Amino acid sequence: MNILEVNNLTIGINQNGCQFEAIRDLSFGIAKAEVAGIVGQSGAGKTLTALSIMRLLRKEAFIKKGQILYKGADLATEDMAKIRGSQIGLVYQNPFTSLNPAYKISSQLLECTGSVKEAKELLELVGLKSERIFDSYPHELSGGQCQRVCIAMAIAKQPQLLIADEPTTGLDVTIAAKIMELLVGIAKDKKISLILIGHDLGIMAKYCHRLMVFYHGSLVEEGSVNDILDKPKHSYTRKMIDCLKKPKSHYHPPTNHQLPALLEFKQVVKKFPTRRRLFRHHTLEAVDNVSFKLNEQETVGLVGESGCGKSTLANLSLGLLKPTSGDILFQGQNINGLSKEAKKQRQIIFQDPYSSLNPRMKIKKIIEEPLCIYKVGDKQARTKRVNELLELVGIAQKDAEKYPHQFSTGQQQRITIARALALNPKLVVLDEPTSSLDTSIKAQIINLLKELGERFKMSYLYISHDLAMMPLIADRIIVLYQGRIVEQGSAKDIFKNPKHSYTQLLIDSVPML
Amino acid sequence: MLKFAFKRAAQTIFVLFGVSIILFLVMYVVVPGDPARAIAGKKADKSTIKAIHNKLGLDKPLYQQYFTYTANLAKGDLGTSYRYRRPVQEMLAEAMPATFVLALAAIIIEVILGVLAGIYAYVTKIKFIDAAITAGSAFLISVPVFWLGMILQYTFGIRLNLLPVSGNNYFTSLILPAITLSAISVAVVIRILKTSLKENQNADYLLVARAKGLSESQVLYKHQLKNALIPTITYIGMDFGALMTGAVATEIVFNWPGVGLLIRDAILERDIPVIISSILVLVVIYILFNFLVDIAYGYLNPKVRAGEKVA
Repeated sequence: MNILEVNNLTIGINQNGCQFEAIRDLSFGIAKAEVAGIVGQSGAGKTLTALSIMRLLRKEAFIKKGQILYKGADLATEDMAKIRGSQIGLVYQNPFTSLNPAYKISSQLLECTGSVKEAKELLELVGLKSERIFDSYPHELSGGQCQRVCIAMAIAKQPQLLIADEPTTGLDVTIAAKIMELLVGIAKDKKISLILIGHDLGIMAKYCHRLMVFYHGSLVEEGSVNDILDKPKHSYTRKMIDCLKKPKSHYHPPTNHQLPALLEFKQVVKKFPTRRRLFRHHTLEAVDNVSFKLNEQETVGLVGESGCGKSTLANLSLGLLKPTSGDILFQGQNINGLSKEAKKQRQIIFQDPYSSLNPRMKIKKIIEEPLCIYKVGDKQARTKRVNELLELVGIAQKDAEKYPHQFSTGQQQRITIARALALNPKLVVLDEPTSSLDTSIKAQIINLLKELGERFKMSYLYISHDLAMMPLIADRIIVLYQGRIVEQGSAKDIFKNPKHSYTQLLIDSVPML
Repeated sequence: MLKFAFKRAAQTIFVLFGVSIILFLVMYVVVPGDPARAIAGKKADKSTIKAIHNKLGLDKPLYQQYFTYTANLAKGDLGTSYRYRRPVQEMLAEAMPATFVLALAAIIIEVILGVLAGIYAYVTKIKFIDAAITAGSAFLISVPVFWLGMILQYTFGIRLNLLPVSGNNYFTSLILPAITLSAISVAVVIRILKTSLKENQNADYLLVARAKGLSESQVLYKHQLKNALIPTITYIGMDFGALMTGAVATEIVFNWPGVGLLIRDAILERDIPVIISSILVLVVIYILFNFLVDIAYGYLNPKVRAGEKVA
């Protein structure tokens, strides 16, 4: 008998007075001790499904029809306080916000366990040093440690079903892999049924026995991992699989390297002051003796986990931070004494498109703004340029009057690209431009960037922790580890014969089929 | 920490200079009337007035008077009352405890009533009660303190004859002025607390807490409330300084013998050293409480304690 049975579940959502169905007629079962994966892009209804099982739907969402049976009993009539935690556990998306910032880990763990001893044992079980973590506040821990604590809390009362809703969002690839292994390992040891929710088919395929593909609120495909990967039926599944296969075979052909250097780092060091005591100043070396060149019309990929100095490098190359020592040259000139004209040549595209667009400005204004700041053309010319840019990035001109929130995340990122291109830059820094996007949209944005880069002869400094996307766009890859360059070379070389052990670790964490 | 305290102290001295210069200008230049007249009476002749001027140092140029005053202030001397020929610190020392007691009582009411009503307004499912609490707090914020004071005096003191309308004789005489003084603060606390409870009701850690199997009341009183209380406690702390300095109107209405009443009498008698020194002392108290709140904030919010920037 299945431990969980979802029958004809339909979930409605009330929004601004109207009602729509976010999940329609969903039915599936979870067997005892199996690891089942739910994959789909954001908005497909994965989290809603998880929350409806826990009966923790937000106010605006409600179960319209259907039932959820746990061990044969309808959860609608059960006392959920007795089921949550002790029968069904939940590991939630964002480890940083899943723990209450005002309480120590000890206090939050002891809500789930009876004794301090048990709590400490749990911490050891999830691979944490209990003494230090126990008395820490959540903000003193890393994302991976926070998620380990959350896992400890979820399994504390020995539930028989564990739901992990995108448990590795926001974590570095290497840490994400460890967390997934921990979860699956615990499920196996304790014979817990595990529902893994994720948007990355590669990762899911690696850890699950069975996969369920969600698309727009429906279950479109279900089957064993091999069946789904070998014989995908639904077009969305096929698209996801295509996205994953690409990195292996299609290397971006290296471009002409005879062109002069556009950006050059010469033994750059950047230190940040951390804690100040009366007589001693502690500093953190975010970037340590980094030298590299970015040639014209070249794309250099910068990989490394969070905290390795990637963003510091990005800010340094835009002149937003000053190096502690060393020189940064842009077109042969020191970056600190650049003319206004040269400053125009550098632009950046950020990770989260929504937060980099002013929500109270129409996109027409947003794209026009850099032109206004540098007093380019008259009003008519600027409007023409905005329309041109919109067309370039594939946004309809009639949408120019809309506000950022009226677009999807992928479209929003297109808008930020249009804005960055407005001044015809030579150098564009791409700071994780695809990390908040779904797999299928990621590829579209990368292709768009690649096409525009070739067409307008731009150089990209492409920053990412996701090695999988690198070969698609980068001519060369630089691997950054703890503020130092540990390896650099063409994408092909890096993938084929990584020299540094950290590079090897990164490649191993990349889900590829 | 020490650096922070020094910085604050330096800022305070700067503020005190600014405030004292403004007060000097206002009291001696802008406001009409001669302190000597107030002392000697309307019928006094010119020679008497001149003698008083001479005695009080009022015949010297204003900047000289200011320098004398600040030089004494630096030595810890708050000056001497024109009217009573007593050191101002003595008079303040007599008046301060009454103001302190009043402000303390008001804070207690603010904490108990404000926090309880704020939570209740958030929790209640009865729309009418929530609306009534919200409307009531809007009313309290908008009515003038002296009007509220007089209405309370009339209702509880005269009509119902339950509580004394003025004075500082018994505990009972504290009740009406404390309620009057705390009214606005109670209303503000209700609003802040209710809003911050609403703001974090969708926080992930609450969802996770429920998923752990905690009951709704555990989630509310342990997880939601502590985070929601941070802005509320910040407000209450700063409010203590504001209540001590803002008690003037309440003290006048209830004839409560605190610093407010002292300043009122000093203004009527043009007793300028008392006015200026009392106001400067209140400014210091206000700044001091703000400083204490900044320190206390670190203990509520562990992120601040570690000396990090709060994201």
